[in-house]
Amino acid sequence: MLVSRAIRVRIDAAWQVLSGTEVVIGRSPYSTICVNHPKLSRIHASFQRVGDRIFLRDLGSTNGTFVDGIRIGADPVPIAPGATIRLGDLQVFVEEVEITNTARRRTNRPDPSGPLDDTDTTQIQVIPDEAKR
Amino acid sequence: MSQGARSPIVVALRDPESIYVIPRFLNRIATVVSSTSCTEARELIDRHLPSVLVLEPDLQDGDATCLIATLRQRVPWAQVLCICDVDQSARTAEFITAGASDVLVRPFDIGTFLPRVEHLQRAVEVRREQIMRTAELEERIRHLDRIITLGTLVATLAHETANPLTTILGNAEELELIFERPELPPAVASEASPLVREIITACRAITTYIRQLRAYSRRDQHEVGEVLPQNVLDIALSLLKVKIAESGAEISVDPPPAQLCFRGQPIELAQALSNAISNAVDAAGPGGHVAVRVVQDGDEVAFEVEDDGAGVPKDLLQNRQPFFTTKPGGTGLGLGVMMQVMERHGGRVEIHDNTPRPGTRVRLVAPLSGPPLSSDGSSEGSTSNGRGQEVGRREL
Repeated sequence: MLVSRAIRVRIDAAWQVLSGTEVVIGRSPYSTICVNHPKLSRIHASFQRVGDRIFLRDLGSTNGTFVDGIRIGADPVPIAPGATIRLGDLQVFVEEVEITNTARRRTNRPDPSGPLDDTDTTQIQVIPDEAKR
Repeated sequence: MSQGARSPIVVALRDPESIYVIPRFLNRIATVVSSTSCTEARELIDRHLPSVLVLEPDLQDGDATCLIATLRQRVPWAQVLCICDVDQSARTAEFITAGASDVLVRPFDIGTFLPRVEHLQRAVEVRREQIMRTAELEERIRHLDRIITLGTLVATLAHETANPLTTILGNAEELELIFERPELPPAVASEASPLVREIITACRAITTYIRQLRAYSRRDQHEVGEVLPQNVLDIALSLLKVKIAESGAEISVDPPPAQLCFRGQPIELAQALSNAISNAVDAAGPGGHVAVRVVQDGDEVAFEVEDDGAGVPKDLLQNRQPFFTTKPGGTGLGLGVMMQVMERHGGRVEIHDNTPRPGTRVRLVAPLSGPPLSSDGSSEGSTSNGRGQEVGRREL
């Protein structure tokens, strides 16, 4: 069992873990998180993790990108923990999560002499703020 | 900023979503010029000479594959990123065959797009370096071809000239003796003798030159044996006896270390050393000083020749081409002979700038163990073993 911590960007059920590459949010199929929402532009905004810091930038959206109610522009803005982020009127969550990866070996194989058959299970648990503290 | 980052990126796209999204991201790292047809893309390539081209397979007026060749003709180091749909595996193969540097299969995450393009921009620099280097090497090969042709021509000329020259020299020396006979009128002798002496001097100069040429162009089969440095010094100095006397330069020779003995070809070494001393004498000039010494340095022996002349300009130190010389009347062969001899001994020629003191120090370095053996058992040359600073030729 492998447990690791990561930071993810989530809009409703759609999410993406932040690594080194840019996470783009928009309606375009080219977006990393593609959400078909009328207030989102085709490429609306993007997150990028640089070391321990997370930056957000607006990609020329029509309805704007807001951090704690303030509209930001094309220059990357660092995101403080707990900041409220809104794309148009869509709320975006930046969460620290615990990812548990379990590799389990099946014991009820139909043919015991056949090749071993592993299954992977990944569980993601959002770490509550109290736990972080 | 790299050249790849400076030059604009040309995009040739047909899909409306691509046309909307891709230039917006590329704009962050370069100027982007967009087209939707092959014709338009060709014009942009001609006008902007881009280092990076991003294209989709099917444009308004046809297949975009031909754009890769068009671009490479104008910018050989250019990199091409193709965007294909997931069901276009055949087109992907066509693009790769046509020379695409990278292929992205749609749908792809635009977040990964810029790093791919930036990677191509770095590849532009690497490819350009490779192409420039290849062009430089090709030019060197062409130059070497010319040198080989010239060398063959010169060797033939030297061979064909040697015999008639011997006749001329022999007859001129005979004439010199004739003009010394007392029965000849003094007026004839006094007028003719200087002319004959000039002929003899000129013939000897040509003979020396031819000898150098032939020594450079062939491998003399001298036997390897025990070498006493004093013998090498004696032979070299005897070859230069007249030149040293006429030069007006003072020459000092330190006795070699007692018991120093190594394996080598004394005649060849003397030939190399005489060239080094001859150069030093020329460089020192009348009133100048040349110091010759033999030193043992670990498992190597070095014949050192130091002059207090003007030295060699640093930009000329690297030139080792045969026939290159900065000396009026020089042949440009002496260093070639030295390098050939020392390389055959498994050694090297070092030329040191004596800065801040005037002059130059030349070291002919050979291993005490003697020349390496080639597969046929004869002595074989080798390149510098990297010890010391082996530098280019000096004026010879």
